Amino acid sequence: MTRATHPRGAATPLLSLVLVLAAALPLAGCGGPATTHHKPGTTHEEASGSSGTLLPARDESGHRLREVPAATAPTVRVEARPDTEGGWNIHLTVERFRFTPDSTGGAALPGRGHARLLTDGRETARLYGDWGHVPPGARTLTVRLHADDHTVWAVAGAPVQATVRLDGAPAAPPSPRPSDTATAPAPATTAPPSPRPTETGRTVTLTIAGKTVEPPPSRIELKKGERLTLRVTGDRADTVHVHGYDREVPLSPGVPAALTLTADRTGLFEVETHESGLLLTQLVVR
Amino acid sequence: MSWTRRIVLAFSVVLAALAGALLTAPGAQAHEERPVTFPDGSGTVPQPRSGEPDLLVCKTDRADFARRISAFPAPVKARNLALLDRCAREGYRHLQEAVDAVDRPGMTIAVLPGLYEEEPSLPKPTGACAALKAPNSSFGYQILSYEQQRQCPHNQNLVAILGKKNLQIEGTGASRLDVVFDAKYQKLNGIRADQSDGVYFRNFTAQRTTFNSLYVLAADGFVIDDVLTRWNDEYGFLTFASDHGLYKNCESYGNGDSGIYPGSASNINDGRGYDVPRYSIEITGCRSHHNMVGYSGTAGDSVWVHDNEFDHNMGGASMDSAFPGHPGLPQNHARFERNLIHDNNQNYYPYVADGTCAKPPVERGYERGVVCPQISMPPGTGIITAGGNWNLYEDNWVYGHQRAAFYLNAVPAFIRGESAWAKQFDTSHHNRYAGNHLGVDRAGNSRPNRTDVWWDGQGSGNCWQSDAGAASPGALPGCGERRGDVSGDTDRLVGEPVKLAQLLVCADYNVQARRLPAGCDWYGARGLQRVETQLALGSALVLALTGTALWWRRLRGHRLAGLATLAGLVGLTLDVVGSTLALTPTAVPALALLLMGAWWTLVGLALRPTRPVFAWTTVALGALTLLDAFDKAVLMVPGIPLSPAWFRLLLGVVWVLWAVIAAGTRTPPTTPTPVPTPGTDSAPATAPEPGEPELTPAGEAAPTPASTSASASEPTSAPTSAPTSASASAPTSASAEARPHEEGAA
Repeated sequence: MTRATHPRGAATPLLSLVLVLAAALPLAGCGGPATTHHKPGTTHEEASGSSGTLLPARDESGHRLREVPAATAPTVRVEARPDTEGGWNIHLTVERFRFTPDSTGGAALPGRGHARLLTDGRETARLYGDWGHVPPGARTLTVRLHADDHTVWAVAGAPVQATVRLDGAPAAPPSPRPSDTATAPAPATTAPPSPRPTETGRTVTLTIAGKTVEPPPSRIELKKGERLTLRVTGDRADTVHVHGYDREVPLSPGVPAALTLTADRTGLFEVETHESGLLLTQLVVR
Repeated sequence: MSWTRRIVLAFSVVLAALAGALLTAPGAQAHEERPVTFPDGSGTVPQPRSGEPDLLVCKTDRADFARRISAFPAPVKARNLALLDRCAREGYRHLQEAVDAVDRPGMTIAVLPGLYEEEPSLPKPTGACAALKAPNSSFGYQILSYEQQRQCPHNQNLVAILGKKNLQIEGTGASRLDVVFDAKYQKLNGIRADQSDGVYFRNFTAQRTTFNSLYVLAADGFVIDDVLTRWNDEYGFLTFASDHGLYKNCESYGNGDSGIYPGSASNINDGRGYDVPRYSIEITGCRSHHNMVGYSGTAGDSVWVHDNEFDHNMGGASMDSAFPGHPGLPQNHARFERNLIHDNNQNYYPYVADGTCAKPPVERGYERGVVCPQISMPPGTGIITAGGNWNLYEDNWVYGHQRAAFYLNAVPAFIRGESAWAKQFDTSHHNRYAGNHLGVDRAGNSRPNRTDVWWDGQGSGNCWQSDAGAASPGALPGCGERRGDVSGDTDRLVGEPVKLAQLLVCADYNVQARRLPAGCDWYGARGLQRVETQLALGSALVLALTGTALWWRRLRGHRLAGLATLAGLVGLTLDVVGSTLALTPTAVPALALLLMGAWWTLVGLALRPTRPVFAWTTVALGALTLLDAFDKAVLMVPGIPLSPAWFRLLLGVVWVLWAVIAAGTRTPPTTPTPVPTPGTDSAPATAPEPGEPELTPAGEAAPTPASTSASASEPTSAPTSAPTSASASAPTSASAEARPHEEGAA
């Protein structure tokens, strides 16, 4: 009995053979088992590699981290250039990584997936290629690499990501600044396999106009050890003070000032301006 | 069979044996399966069940689940939430666990939205399963028996459904992308349903295997409903040796062979004509794209394929009889209706050439559009039939192809391992291409195919619609109103020689060795690289040299012969030009044949007096060439077992040898040379006089009264004296060209 050989279904090809019409001659005499004249196809080697280890930890958006060895982990660098009509054009340089938009939602396979953009600490978009755009207003941009199953590629328990500061007003109506636009005014802060991913941690942006604070004062909940950056823009000279941590940063009218701290003490702490005595927000550290 | 046919047959066999010797590379089978036979056909196509499922499969991460169903329509969302509660209590976490819990026919398994990697199935076999005694396929995996599959269900399968009857497996998501089974290239098969009659698959996605995602084997009754498969070394859907099957609303892409493969569908209509009581498998509403071929049907017998879309593959659909071991060969009775088959112009062979396909499957980049074509085929083609009978292709839209809409050739039985003499010519017959919309899309926009038909010319009862555009051959048998009506039918045993040569060259493809035949335009050869043009050029050079020499040495003074030779040279040039990809489907090749035929005919007539046998041979060659032109451009000559091209080819070889001898032999003058000045050298150096009235070569003149003049008895330049009157029969005559002059002088 001859074996069923499937497939080759296809295509056919073979056509060719056609002509051949008859090699029947030799075959007729021997009558051996059926063999195909079809050449071998590709190997069908089954994969056996691992796609890393799922960690219990999750990122801010609730995605599990997927730990892989640093030597084989993907890396990402990011560079931002102001766009002439506003915002920033960003360019990713990835290694050991391919963008696989069509298999998003499938299982994690090593070295593929997509990137997610976090502007000022909040997830705003995905990138399925190495170029993207961030609208004006953002102060920091973090680019994080995710696998097809939405888990976060991680090394040493920290996400693979890179962060860049989008300093200076991203020329909303761009005043001609030839030298700036030619060279990237926003130096690419790169953190390849970023072992310290949360360098800047969350960023909260506050704006003071007269007696009004935008967003209105509320509570910022932090886990102990989390890093927080406060980015404050006032309309007069002043000083921002974080009680409890006793951290201060001077304010100049219209110029954003940043204050970064690590929430290493639990409790409720107020953030105020010294001169005007405004309550900006409260930090709840647990 | 008449004796002439037998002779032709024997001759064909010799040709084939030669070709076969070239072709028979050490074969490795592409995929080997245990021996299977068709089901007995007593089953039915299963109906979907919509009641409460018997078994549930889900994942436990509620937050993840909530995200997945957040955009579902309210009723679907509510149902899924209810099912999740139930599943959390009594459900399974992997499909295989639920399948294993099936304990009676007619059960339904519902799979909730989520990603299913079936982790328990993944570990490599250990213990007894690592030491099964079974033959190895050429690719390293074992060809397991059904019992061995039961013993070790996960040696090759992510999910194995073995011997379950009327099982329904359905995703409960809002779309088929909400439930994904992902083999991550770690298994040969994604979901295998083996001897599981009545299986019903609905609303999920299966992907990334090293063979095929959804595999139905030996089933009497199956349905594939709204399922997506993608990124497999070979097939998206493979249903083999099965009956009472239905594919509907399915999609497949990114497969190295085909998206949809109803291989060895039950051969229930063997021996019938076009009228059949039923089809074994129906395929409708499916889309198959970005594969090597959208649909393939080695032994795809009695498959009814209607209202599908096959697009952006290398080839839209193919059926064939080219591979051994498929029950039901030769392929027969596929019926294609109202399908959209268009823009199948992908060419994935560069991925073979650049080494991408030599990597392990997981690294090839299928998700990014890589396809590794497993076999040789002509990219840019709508429907390929490589050995098949009684297929109906009607009312389809076939457009936008850079090669051809329809491709038909024969495949002799020994290719599929059958050596019986009577079977060698059992394809391709009675294929009907009628009422299709060629070169226009459904909105009526013009989207021409480069050619509408490519046919090797073999077979009987094949016909094409009369409005087919550019075709090779240019004249095709036409379809009548009713199925079975054919005008201008032919019945040839072998295809056109040049086409066979091309197929022979093109078949020498080897994906593992990264060998892409250089002479074949399927892999990018153009211009002089193509074997057809090389053959045309080679033979044109030989014929041009031979013909010119013949004229120079024997007919130089013969004006008409000179003109004819000139026409012949033009014809040879056109023959080379006409062999290019762009001009093959035009009138150029036939025009070339016309000129060459005229050349040989006239030269033959001119040679009659000196060498009657050779002359008539030349005339015969001319006549065959003219017949060939007629055959290719006007009407395929009925009633002959081989095309005129074959006879022309054979006679041409003889003629060239003979012409070389005729032109090159140096013999004494054999006819009287009535030179007025005896003693001077013979006439070759003297030019014919203007106004020479005698058109025929001198040899013929010898018996004329003029040549019998006194001078006839006066041999001049002959080193040896020859008989004065017998010259006409001399095999060669070195001085023939001088004679008109002599006669004139006389």
